[in-house]
Amino acid sequence: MPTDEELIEEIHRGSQAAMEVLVKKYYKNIFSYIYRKVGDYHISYDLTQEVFIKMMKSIDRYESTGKFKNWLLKIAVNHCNDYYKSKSYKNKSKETQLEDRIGDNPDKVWDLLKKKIERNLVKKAIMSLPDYQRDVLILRYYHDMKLKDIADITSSKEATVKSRLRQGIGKLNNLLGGEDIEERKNRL
Amino acid sequence: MKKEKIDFDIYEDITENELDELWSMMDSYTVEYPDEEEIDNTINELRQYVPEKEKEEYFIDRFHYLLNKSMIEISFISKPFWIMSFILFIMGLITMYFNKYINPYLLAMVISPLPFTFGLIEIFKSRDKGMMEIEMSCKTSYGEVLLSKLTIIGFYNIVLNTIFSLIISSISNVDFLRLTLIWFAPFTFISGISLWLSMKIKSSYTMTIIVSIWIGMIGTLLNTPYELIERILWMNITIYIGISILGISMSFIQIRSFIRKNISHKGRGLFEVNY
Amino acid sequence: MRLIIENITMKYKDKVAVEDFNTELNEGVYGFLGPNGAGKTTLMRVLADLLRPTRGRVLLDDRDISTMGDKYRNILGYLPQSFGFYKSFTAHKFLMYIAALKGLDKSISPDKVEEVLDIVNLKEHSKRKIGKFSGGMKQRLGIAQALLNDPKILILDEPTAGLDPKERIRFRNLISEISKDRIVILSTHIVSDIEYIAKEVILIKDGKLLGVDSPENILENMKGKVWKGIASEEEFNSMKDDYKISNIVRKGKEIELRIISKDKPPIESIEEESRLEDMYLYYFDQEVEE
Repeated sequence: MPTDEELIEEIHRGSQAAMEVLVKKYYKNIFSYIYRKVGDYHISYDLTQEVFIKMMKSIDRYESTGKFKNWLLKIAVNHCNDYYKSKSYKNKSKETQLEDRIGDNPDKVWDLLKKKIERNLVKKAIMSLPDYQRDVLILRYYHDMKLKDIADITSSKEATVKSRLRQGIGKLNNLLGGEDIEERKNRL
Repeated sequence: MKKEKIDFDIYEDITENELDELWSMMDSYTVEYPDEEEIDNTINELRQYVPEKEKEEYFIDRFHYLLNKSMIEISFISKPFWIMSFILFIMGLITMYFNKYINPYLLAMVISPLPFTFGLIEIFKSRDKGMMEIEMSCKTSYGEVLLSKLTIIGFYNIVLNTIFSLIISSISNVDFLRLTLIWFAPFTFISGISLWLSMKIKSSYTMTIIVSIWIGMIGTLLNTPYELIERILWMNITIYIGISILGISMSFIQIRSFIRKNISHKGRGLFEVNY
Repeated sequence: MRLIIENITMKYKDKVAVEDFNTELNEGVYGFLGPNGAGKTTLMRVLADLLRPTRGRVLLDDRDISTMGDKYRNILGYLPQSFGFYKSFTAHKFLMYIAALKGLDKSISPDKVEEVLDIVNLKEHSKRKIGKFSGGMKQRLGIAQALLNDPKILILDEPTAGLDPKERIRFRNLISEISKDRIVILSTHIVSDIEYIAKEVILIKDGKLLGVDSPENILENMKGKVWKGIASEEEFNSMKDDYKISNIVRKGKEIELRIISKDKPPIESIEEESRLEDMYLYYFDQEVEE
């Protein structure tokens, strides 16, 4: 398996195959970040494509530090933030449904249903956090990044990252803690 | 779930139990990924951003291309530049002719970097005169224009300096190689510094500043005991070579970063500043 | 040919100059209309591939122009909003220089230069130094250089600035003549520049797309929104803060007003035929400039 740096080298030399490998390697990573950040499948698909376009356009500026993943995530974080400030977000946000469809098939298995309800609760709770807390939380928990790297990706200080993480988790705990699903639903 | 607890100390108000529960809940937030076909659509969309396969390009071809562009630029470089640089060297020769006591090494050193600073005005003319936006929209890239101007002006300077050295070494008894090294070092070094300064301010200011500093330095040097000048002129030649290499690399880095920042990456810098 | 402007956003630090701009252009004249500072120049620079947008891209027949490099510049003609010249150059020499930069063959350059000089009516000044040119002449020379390579995409940022009324008419005729098989994009804050020649008018305000429509449709939409009425000084004073008034003619004690309003104004008034200028006032809420 070639390293990211080798793949980038290849891309510079015009290799389509190297681009394909590199994009496939990171596609899910980037998509999942964006999905958890914006909460909508179609918007996430478009934004993911735009992030990779941005990556390709600025790949000649990437300086081999061995942390290509961080560099790419940083593009994704900035791109999502730009998107949030944009008009299309402001138009869409009115109509975006936070709750994913539970599925048409009348699967009545309680466990499954409960899982889906729980998933939607978590999604709702995460979406209710302010941007900067959500970023830190997603990167820390779902991407298992070090605080130092998160600070780098979100262009902030490590101490800030720490306090954002603390506040975010505190809020999530308030929203999601406890046993009764109905009660938790009402809190959101 | 252990990994997240590394920073457990961050979460002051939450018990370890609560945190465990929260983590396991968060696990339920799965992501529905696009299927292969959709990912392939994105990849196909990205194909156009992969650079075209580099053709086997030899250095000589590139050089030939640049030379071609330079020939075009030559006819558009202003006459005063050619003439002023030329006159400077003629004056140098006249000084030599009438003043037999003047040190030819010193004279070559003093004159050598000056024409390049005049040339800066030509090199950055389009930026300083507000023509750049038009030039940037033309087929020939602005970077190529800049490089061709630099090539012509650098080349003209080197030719003038070399002829000057040849004449001097034939009329007085000096070592041609040493003479060449002595003018080449300040020539490259000052070129590097003035390019750096030109990136920041209008090139006519750069010219004024560099020329005044240079003349000032020479003036001061002439007023110090003659031994100092002797020592500067008779330094080990590796020092001259070192200074030259430093100057050349400095020029190279400056030009490259200017082209990268402003032309390849289409930054806003060039439009923002009103020179 | 199809030029798609896709999600273009341009941010400078915290200032947003262009926001989420989307539209599609084909052969014909497009008038980008908006007040100064609306983001027109930034957008023109992005379209000319001189600036890299913060977000979004511009596609020419499905290819991102930023990947096309000199292939795009080869079919581009661009007139910046403000520019300088090498004053010691003659008009002829200047155009020969630009022709060289545009990669025109040496054998055709002199003819091409003569041709564009003729188009902008500067033929007899061809050997004069640009330093001696008036503002209008410089502007025409700027237009001439943009035309040198027979561009398929012609982008003109405020092309009529500094032109006198006669030259403006000439310019309008020129543009509508050459626009058949090209995309011509021109930005202006002067309605009459594009009233008769634009296939579509693109309204920009605060960096955002306000609307795209043909001049006919815009006029159609303005129907019933333009009124002419006679008001007394008193009535005028009570109306002038709440109504957009596009014209005032004093006739003795009475004042004849041209009013832009969705509803009938509270004075005796009749519907008037609408003009594009009324639309400008209607959308941009400021004095019509001329």
